[in-house]
Amino acid sequence: MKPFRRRQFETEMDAELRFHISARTDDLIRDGLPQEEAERLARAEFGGVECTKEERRRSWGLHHLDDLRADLRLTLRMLGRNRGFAAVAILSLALGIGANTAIFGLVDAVMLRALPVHDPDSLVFLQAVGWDGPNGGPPYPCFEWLRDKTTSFEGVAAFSRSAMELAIDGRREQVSGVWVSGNLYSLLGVRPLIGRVLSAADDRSVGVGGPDGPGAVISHTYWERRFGRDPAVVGRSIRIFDHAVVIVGVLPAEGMSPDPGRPIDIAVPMTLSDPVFLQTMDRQIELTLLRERLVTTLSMAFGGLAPLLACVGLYGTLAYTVARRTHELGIRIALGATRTQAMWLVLQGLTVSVIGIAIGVPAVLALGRIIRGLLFGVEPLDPLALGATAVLLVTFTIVAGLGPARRAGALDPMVALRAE
Amino acid sequence: MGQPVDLVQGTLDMLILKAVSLGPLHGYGVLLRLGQLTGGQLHIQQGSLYPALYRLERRGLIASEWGESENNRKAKFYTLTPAGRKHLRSETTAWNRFSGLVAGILDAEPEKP
Repeated sequence: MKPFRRRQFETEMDAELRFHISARTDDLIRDGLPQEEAERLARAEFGGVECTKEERRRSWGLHHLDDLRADLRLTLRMLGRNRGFAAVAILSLALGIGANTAIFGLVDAVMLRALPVHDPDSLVFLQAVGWDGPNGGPPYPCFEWLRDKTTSFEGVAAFSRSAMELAIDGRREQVSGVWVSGNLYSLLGVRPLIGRVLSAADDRSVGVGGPDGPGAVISHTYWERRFGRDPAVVGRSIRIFDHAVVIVGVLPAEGMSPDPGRPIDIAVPMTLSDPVFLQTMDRQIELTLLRERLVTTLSMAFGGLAPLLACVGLYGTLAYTVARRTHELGIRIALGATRTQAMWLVLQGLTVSVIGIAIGVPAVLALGRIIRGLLFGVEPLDPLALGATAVLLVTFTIVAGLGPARRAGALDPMVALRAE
Repeated sequence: MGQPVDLVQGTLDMLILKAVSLGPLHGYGVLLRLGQLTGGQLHIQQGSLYPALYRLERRGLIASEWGESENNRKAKFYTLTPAGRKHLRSETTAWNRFSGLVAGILDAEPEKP
């Protein structure tokens, strides 16, 4: 019931009972009783006004609300007295949320989310085709042969990550780049934001580039960071490893490389790289990816561990509370508290987790920048991850609280009272 | 007029429904109406009247509305709802059967050999 409706409920109830007593008083006065005596008698005849009110609240189910409020107040007071415990429980929950959300974001990006290509299911990664090239992958000519002769695949494209040295307006900088075969983006169905994607024509001849000369595409993120979203970037000439290259387009950041979760600034046709290093799908990539998968799996385990630890901590706190409050609970049950009411101790755990979430979520938001840095550009503030974590933790809390609560509900008042 | 009779357990709800079925009444009015119908011979605990009214209202058998009392004071008036009317009818039938049976038993004479 909303607070103002509750207030209305109370005033109406009060008015009704007052009307009854004053009407009765009037009748008694009419019967010849003096005013004071009549008032006293009317009140006495009616009996317990508060009792009647409570009866009415009960019939509307309001006592649940009142009990809840009282329990909540008691819980907060108890938590205030056990500051150490409360702090540990709340902090572990907040940490659990932070770690879990961050790790979910990473896992989501690396493992769960399909690559942003038009048909991710038909995508196949090849590695070590033919002889090993200089970097452990097949030699570039081997890829060319595969690309041109294949009938089993719609197309074959290659990519290879590499740090690249750029010179823009004479200023040098290092960026993370990827050597790609010209057909990579058209094969994956990546659409340019401005300009065009690289095409098969762009790597037709080694060292020369396509019809517009040597071309490259940059990511939306890099475009934003380095060029301030200047649309005139298309057609601009820069130098990559001291070769002049023209920027032909801007692509969405996540479409730059099929290697997920890693930001790529620039993509350049393979034929423009040092021919010695030309290679496809090299094993290096697969190895790096393997390492990342391992890291991800480990993080996921830690991420699962964080809420689990939070859960264990909560269970301990709750069990300890029940043990400490055994005497009080015994008195409550002996005085007629129902076992369900005793079980409302779960509430204590819930209160802790709500506070933990209330602290954890803003903390995650505040730490967003740092987490983002650690996560290769993955967005850590995924509302889905945050919500899922919060729900998960509340569920954990309820589960953690159930055991102690059941024990509290099963207390024998006799035993409890003796356990001083 | 003898000692006031205490209410048989569980009959208060039925009596309230009947009283209200004769016209809208506030809580105190229910008490007066029942007193008037019984010639003051029935003793009803005032404290138990309101819980019963709330219970009936909650069950949808009576409805309440604020109005003016005889001496122009604000009072809450209760009226019978269609569901209440139906309930009262079945309760009455059941009660009549029950009291008839009880009376029959209590009137039984020892069988003559």
